Amino acid sequence: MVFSSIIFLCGFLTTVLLLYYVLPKSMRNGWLFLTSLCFYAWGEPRYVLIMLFSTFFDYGNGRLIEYFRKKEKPAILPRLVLIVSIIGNLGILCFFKYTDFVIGTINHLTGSSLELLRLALPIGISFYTFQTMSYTIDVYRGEIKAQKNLISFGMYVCLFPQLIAGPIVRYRDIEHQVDTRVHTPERVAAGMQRFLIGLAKKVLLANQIGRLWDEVLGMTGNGLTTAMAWFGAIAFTFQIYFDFSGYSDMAIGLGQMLGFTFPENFDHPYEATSITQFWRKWHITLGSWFREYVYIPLGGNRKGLARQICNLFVVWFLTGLWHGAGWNFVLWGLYYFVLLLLEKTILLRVFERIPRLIRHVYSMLMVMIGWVIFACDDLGVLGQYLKALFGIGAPLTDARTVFVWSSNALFLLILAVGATTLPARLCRKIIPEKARSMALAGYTIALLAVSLALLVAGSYNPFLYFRF
Amino acid sequence: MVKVIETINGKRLIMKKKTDKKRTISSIIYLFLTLGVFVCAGLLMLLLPQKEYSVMENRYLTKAPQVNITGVLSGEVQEQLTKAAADQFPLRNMWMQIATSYRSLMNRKEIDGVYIGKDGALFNRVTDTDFEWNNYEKNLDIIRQAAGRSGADWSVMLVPGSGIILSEALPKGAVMYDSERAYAIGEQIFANEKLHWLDTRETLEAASRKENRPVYYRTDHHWTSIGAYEGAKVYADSVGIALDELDSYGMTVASENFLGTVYSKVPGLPGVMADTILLPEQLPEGLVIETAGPPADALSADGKKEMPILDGIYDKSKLSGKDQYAVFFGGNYSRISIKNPQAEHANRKLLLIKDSYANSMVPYLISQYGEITMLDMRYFTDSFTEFLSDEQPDEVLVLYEMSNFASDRSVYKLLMNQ
Repeated sequence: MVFSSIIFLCGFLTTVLLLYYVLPKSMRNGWLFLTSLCFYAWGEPRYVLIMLFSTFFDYGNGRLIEYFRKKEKPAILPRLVLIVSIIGNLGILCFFKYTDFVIGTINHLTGSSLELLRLALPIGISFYTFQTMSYTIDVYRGEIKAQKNLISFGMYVCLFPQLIAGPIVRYRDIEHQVDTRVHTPERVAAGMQRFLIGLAKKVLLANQIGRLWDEVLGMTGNGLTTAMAWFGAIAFTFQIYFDFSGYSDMAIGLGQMLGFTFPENFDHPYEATSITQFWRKWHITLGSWFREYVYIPLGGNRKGLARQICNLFVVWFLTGLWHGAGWNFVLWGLYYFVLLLLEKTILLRVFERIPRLIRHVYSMLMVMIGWVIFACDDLGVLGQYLKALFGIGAPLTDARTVFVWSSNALFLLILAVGATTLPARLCRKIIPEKARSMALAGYTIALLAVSLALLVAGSYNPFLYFRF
Repeated sequence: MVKVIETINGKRLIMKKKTDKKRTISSIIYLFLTLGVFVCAGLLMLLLPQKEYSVMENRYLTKAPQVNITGVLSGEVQEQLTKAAADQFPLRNMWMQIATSYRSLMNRKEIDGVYIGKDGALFNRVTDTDFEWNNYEKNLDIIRQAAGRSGADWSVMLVPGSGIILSEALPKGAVMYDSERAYAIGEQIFANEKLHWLDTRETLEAASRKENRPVYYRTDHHWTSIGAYEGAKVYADSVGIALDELDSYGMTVASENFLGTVYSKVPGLPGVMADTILLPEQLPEGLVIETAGPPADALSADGKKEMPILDGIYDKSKLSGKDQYAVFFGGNYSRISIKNPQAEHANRKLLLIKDSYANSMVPYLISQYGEITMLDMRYFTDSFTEFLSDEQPDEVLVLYEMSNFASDRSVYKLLMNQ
């Protein structure tokens, strides 16, 4: 089930919320566990078993590590459990996500024709396996206590707000919230507002600009001009931001309605003035995950430059691959590896002497090119698109391009402003503090009305992060 | 006082906060309002009877499915429920209008491949990228071959859509495909054939300059009865037939609330005016109409293919529905023939290979031909070669809207024996 659907809003969400607050506190985790399973099973009735397996598996691993520790068994035993857990989690992830990718690559390289498995990718598997893995690792590291209540743990793993597309909530982020949460009408209302803003980002902005991106992509190799290719790149840049950050807003808002405080996932990434900064503002929880569980364990920057470069390479190769089983995603990861390495070694020092605006333009250009690599999962199409983007063998512009640019100029402007902190700052200036909560309430209700209208009317409601 | 526990970076902070009664109350009101919308809509959908059909969109709505285990396990039941929830939402038309209004605020010139032109005219956008050039050439070549095999007198008339002829009414800067190029290609392919390659542009452009006589519908992709008459005249001139003046056909207003297919893509768009449908009512009597089964499209209200009850050549019941253009013959048939014993040329047989553009043009030709047969290749499944040798038409006219012809994937059937 996706958040941006009538069935979720009018059926699922209302039922879950109303009963959640009617039920006694002791039953609430169980209720969330149960409804989260239904939420997942809605689209993937069979794959719910994989998620349940993951849940039991890491629940057991956590308990076992703690048991061995308590009984002062040799250190090798908890370590063994940890290794089993990591292999198990990565095994599931790799099997479902990467098998066909590997077979396809082998077929391509050797000319063999091995049969593809054609497994549907279980939704959210990249997110929940990372969450359960971080749980076991943190128990092993002694940073958290193992959760003894299976229902509470199951609730954490399957919790529907962040199940499908993050943010990646590590167990330690909400360790204490699992068993004690505070619920006040103010928090629930604030959560609802956050949710509605996320919904509007997705439905009113991302979906609308997404249609235009699809159209431009369809022109590849068929009259795509350079100016149109840039329009497309900008369109996708906005689509993916409003889609994904909108989804994170919805998740955080839903969490808040249920008494959770989830970590933030976006911090106006398109205001970044370097790629290094961009990645501190984009999909923050994924970045922290890789830093925490890959980069630093590998030695981070503490073992010399050569080793650091090697570590960065591994992290960005994996980050790329995590986003999808395709070479364009690997390429996309490595693209950022090169950019970040350049910044670390040379550029950041040069930047100190360059005006902010130029740094910003540079960052956005790089990010946009990155998104083109990300969006074209057919390498042939990617090549053609990049050529058009750089004016190789493509006309600069044509009448259609001028029309598309001019008739969407206002919309692009709205998107650009919407991606910055400007609207929030303006509101703080214009609207007196007393009226602010009223204004926000009215604003979000208006957003709700228009979002509902587009959900009822439009069949165009793709979800970019289903594949990850 | 309320105890608030926040966990930040793994640290647990316990804060005591004063509660603010006013804020609590306004929060509760806010939640009542927002959740209330969801709950009410959900309840209404459960309680109200389900709707079959959306007139505005000209399509059937998804209804809640029968729940069974296999359906649930395969996910089909959930998928259908998800669709049904959007389709059965209370006040659906109002929401659609809000949605279209929002989208036209973001882009006032084009929504979903529809150009929003001047004075409420809507145009299907067909750019050079949209136009299927390769398939266009392929289809023309198929016609060339089919014509070469037959002894009849062949003509090809590809009528450009409204965006080409009424280009001045397009939003500023909007572009259509290069119709010049499309005509040149036809010219070239048929250069050495005796087939007539008919260009209607000049005639239609001239006709479109007359006041109050629209050649195309504003909200539909078809030409009007006036445009169709102009087309009929171009054909008649080329085969040496004299047509009467338009007014002698008894043009009568049949509908003034026609919102056509292009409008269906932008339902509820502000500033759109409904179209008027004119019908030539003074037609020969005693026509004999034969069809191969009911129309393949233009289904009846309960979604069935039914033989319409024709009043002459019109199915006037269609005028009270959404798909009003189906008033002509009641829709598109794989094959339909109209015999007129009193025709000017009682022994002359005309065969049309056509799309729906022909349906409004045929009325003007009926008085001339003893027999007119229309074949819609999209639905025609018999052997065309056999059909030709059985029927022996004197004239064959290929009549399509140009961009529709370019994307048609059924013309190849003209070369099939089976």
